Amino acid sequence: MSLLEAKGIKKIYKTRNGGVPVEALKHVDLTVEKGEFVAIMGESGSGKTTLLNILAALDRPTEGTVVLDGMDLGAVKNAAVARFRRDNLGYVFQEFNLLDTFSLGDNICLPLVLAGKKPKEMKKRLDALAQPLGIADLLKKYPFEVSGGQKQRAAVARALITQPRIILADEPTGALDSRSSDELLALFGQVNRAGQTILMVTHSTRAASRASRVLFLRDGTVIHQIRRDGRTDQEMYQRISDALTLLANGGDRK
Amino acid sequence: MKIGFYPRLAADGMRKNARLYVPYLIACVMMVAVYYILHFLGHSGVMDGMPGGNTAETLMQLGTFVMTLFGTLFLFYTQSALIKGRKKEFGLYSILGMNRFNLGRILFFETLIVWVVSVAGGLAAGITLSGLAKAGFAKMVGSAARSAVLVPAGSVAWTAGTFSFIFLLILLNSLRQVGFSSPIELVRAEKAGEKPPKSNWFVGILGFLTLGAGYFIALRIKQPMSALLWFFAAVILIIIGTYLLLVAGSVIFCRLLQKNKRYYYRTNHFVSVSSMAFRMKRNGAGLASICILLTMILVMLSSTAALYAGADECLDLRYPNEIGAFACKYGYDEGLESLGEKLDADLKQAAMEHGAAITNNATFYEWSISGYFDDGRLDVTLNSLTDMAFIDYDKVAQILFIDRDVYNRVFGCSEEVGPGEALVGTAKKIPIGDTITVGDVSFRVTKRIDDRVDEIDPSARISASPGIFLIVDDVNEVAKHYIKYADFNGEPMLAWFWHCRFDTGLAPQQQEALARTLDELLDEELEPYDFDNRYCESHEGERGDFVGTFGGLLFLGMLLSLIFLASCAIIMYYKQVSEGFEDQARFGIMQKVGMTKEEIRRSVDSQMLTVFLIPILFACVHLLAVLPVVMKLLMLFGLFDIPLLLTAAGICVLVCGAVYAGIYRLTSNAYYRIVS
Repeated sequence: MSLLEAKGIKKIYKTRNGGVPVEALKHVDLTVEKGEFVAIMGESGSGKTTLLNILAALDRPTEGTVVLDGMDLGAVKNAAVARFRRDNLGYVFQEFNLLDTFSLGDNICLPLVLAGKKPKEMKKRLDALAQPLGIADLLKKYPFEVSGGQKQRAAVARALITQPRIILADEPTGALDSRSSDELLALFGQVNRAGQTILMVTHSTRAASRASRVLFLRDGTVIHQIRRDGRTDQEMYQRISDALTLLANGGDRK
Repeated sequence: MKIGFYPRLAADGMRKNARLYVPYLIACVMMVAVYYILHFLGHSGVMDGMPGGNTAETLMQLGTFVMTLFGTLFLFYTQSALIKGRKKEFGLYSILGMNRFNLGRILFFETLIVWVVSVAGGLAAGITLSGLAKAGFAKMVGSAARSAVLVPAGSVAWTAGTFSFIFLLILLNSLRQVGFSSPIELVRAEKAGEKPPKSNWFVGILGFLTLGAGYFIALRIKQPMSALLWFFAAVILIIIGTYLLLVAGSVIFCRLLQKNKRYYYRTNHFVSVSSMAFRMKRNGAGLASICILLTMILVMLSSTAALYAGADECLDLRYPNEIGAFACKYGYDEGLESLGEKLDADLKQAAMEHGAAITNNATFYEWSISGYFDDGRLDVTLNSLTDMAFIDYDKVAQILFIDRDVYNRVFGCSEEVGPGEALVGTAKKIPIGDTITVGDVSFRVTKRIDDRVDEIDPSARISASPGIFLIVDDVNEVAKHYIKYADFNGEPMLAWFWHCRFDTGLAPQQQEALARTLDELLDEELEPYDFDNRYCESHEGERGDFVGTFGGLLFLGMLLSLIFLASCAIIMYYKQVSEGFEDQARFGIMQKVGMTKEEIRRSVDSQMLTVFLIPILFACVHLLAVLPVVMKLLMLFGLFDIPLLLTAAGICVLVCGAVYAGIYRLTSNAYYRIVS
């Protein structure tokens, strides 16, 4: 069975003043296997973030179901959603979303504190993560004192520390310079090789080329898919570029 | 209608920031209205003819002055908070090509609008309410208000003038704030990265020590009049200490909690403690201001309410009899004793002609000499009192000699006092040993009669310098010892005091009339003798003055409290709104990280509650620390009823607490609306 299975997802936003409803997602079917690194590509307004929010249970679909590891997200009660998210999902944001009132270490520990873990256990997990992520020296610092790349690594650590079933990343390189982006993507690769499932939304070809599978989203549906099948990052990059060119030229619309 | 570009821009800016401007305008209107009412009561002569009207008028004039000062400070504070919130807008304007002059024009029109609204609105409200205020005041002092509603042009002009001046200052200040910053600075003003709060141990400890010193001084003050300077020092220390402690101490406290891992890493504490540290860093000063305002309200209301409620008690103490006459003459004179007897007879005669049935009569004379009293010895030499700046006022004392026979006769005793002996009585706790030396004469103290002092002189407890009564054998012989002492003007220091008190059984108004008659009689009879002081008062005649004074104080206290409370509300409101905007994004993140809405709400509630409780708790502690001084100040007015003051303080704490809680509820709703 797949780790994550989304079927027939449709999302319609009603504008506030009774204007024309906007169809953000038309019909999306999506499965993610355990241990996969999936990238979803698409231009602004293609529905990427909407899809991710639905998968993260931050938003509910108008139609369709999302099943994570056998659990139907639609069946989780509203009150329990936050807890579900905390226990099963790790979320990495474009804007890092670190709390400026916490040091990096405390930011990373936040989900554990919410889960009621012991300080000793937190420290153990934190130390185990901080070393490979290269933020061991920064744990006492505050978000405003460190660079964007360092912030994003802390955010990744925060997503990983609960040992989630899946990491959801929304444009994780969007606010980073190219060097920090490369470092972060290398980190994602490393985490993924260790068995962590990752689902990433991006419009950067470079970021997507690290994934094991790339989905193309346009006008609310998945219109194309590329599997790595043993290709190098460079070959992936080339194939994605070609696909994007083709799509941009108005190629096959399913 | 065509409105100029700049006025429209100014009006639009204010409309878009209505959330901030509406409370500001309300505060301005209130300030203007209260100022007008105070000025109206204090300067227009409406209180002429009311009992105690003159005292109350002076009080209101003082209130007007306080209002001017406080209004200026407060309006400056709120206005700079407003400008801070709008810097981004101004930055945008200047990037779009406006220069300082253009921005200045916007600010000018903005201030103009605020000025027009607050002066017009405030005057309208003030004029409408002034009749009510007058009637309310009249009711408090128990007299009918004169019905003529008048709008004195002077008060209107003064109010408008004062606030025009304040707004002019405010305009200049905002021009300075906007004019001196570059557009980029303006745009970025809001986003400047915030440093994490550091534990500033130095400031924290300093605050703790300052506050402690303030309390210590306040609690140690024995004589409020002589230690008035100390009292002010204590107040200033407490204010400074509050600021330092709330700004630095609270951060240190949060930091200490964070060090305690077991406490800190708990769902309930984690977010609260770390955000509290930031919140306190930003808002410590605001909280301290709220705390000081609350303390002022509590002190003002409880003391004035206690005075007002205890007015009759004070009156009875100060004027135990319906009629009281007094005369005093410096220097020694053999004929005074018989003059006193003649006066006594004449006054009583006149009283009886008025229809009075004389009871509870006490007529007696005493010889008085003042000096520096220390260690059972009164120094009456000139040098002891010349260097006024360096002497301890607590030790300036007045010795009053009363003849044994007079004392026995008037106060119904049968005391034996031999030559060189004295009975000693004092209302203040002055240590006196077995002998007391006055000048160069010593007396053996055979008995203490402290419990009879109230009977001899009801105001003994009220007077600032302690009075010591000595009952001696043959008082005139004793007095002669002191003829030789003179003060630095060459005047004799020895004085003859004559008292005559009695009840009449007359109706209140007749008592007053009688007192006036007797006063004239005293004047007439003492004319040839060159007396230094003489008067005749009635209990009823003084009641008006007492109730007027105390009622005026309470009235002023309530008006000022109203303004202070309104200011508290504004500070809290701005605090909540600005925090709301800051926390908005933060809560979004917390939700995404996996905090439930309920957890967030709980954490916010606990923080808000702490922030809410800190000022009022501190204010209550402050109140406790200064209550002893307040009590001593009230004693100067003749109020000795400690339970009454405590009750008044308790009620004030409850009422203020309730009003404060109401304000808190309203303002925190503003916060929740922004956050959710």
